[in-house]
Amino acid sequence: MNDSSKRWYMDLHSHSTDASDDAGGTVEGYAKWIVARRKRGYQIDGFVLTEHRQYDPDSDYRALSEQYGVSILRGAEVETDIGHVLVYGITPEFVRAFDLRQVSLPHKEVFRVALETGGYAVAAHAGRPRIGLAHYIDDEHMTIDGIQTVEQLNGGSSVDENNVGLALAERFGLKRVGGSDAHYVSAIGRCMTAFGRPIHTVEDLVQELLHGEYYPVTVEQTLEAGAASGERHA
Amino acid sequence: MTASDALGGQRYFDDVESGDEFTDSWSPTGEQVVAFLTVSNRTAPGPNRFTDDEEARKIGMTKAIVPGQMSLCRATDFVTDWMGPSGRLRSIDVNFRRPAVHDEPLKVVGLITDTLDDDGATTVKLDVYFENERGERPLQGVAVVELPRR
Repeated sequence: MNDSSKRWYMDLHSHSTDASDDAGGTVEGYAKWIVARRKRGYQIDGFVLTEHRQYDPDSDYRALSEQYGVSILRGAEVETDIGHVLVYGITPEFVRAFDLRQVSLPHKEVFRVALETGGYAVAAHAGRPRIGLAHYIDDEHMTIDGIQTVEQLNGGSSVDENNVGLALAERFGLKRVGGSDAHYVSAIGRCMTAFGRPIHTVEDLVQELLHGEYYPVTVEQTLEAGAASGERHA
Repeated sequence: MTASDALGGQRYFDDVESGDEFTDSWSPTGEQVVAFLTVSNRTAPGPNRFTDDEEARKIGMTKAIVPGQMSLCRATDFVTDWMGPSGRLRSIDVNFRRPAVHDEPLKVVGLITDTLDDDGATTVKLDVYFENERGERPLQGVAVVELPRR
């Protein structure tokens, strides 16, 4: 995985004005910003909208995705008894299984049902106090059962908090992803996940999370990778 | 470019583009917080979380915190300094995601995220945020500014 020219950079955690009341960024604003960032040499291929505590099956961003050449996928950020959890590949079965508005969903069930219904769950901002996995493992003595992957690099977390997430991942041998947790336009892509294959659909994403090789990156690292290997988005 | 570069000058729509960034710094002191509370008529009797480290620690803070309204004023001031006297601040909307504490150096950042020319109404959208040395953003927001053409 040393050939950076083959990486596909996805921001796996973002919120928009369409469905998160604490967000100030619009989906089109994110897409425009990514296009502007690409002109300055950064590599951002797409992002996943993970609105708080909800999933609208009827939202469709394909037209925007095509207009701006940016992969725009959808998941959700739900709240569980081990903190916040990002879910990708949400199916009607998953939505039927939980009241996503609840703030203390049983995490083992969330991870299990996501997997069994064709999706994938990731413990969000793992090093963040009170809403990240490390707090529940270290202070609340919860177990890591059923959790394979953590969002170790989160754009809304401090350097120290991301280091807590890294220590947790290393301690338990967990896979790591990155996401910006963008609520405002200029934050989109601040932290991302580098994948080995292109991701155009949520099914692609789930397959890569299940079977692919990936790692978290900052947007600045994509600049270095682009300079080293030639930019994909000229 | 720093915000102070724009002081005394005028920002024009023709000269800005998406991705432009301007910055300033701010390290709010305890004296400034007390002055803000006094002039805004929000002075509570006795020590409180805005003026006293011990009181702030009682509610889980590391030290005395900066009032959100004061941070909003600083963010607004930052934008209006940048836009110049013929600019018009149409809106500014912020949220507070982390506490800002006394004497903590903050980088104040404005980033142009969109420029719109709607039948001659020329507006610019900016993200505005504070960032501390730990990489946290105590304040994040969006401002919409009308700028004149040259």
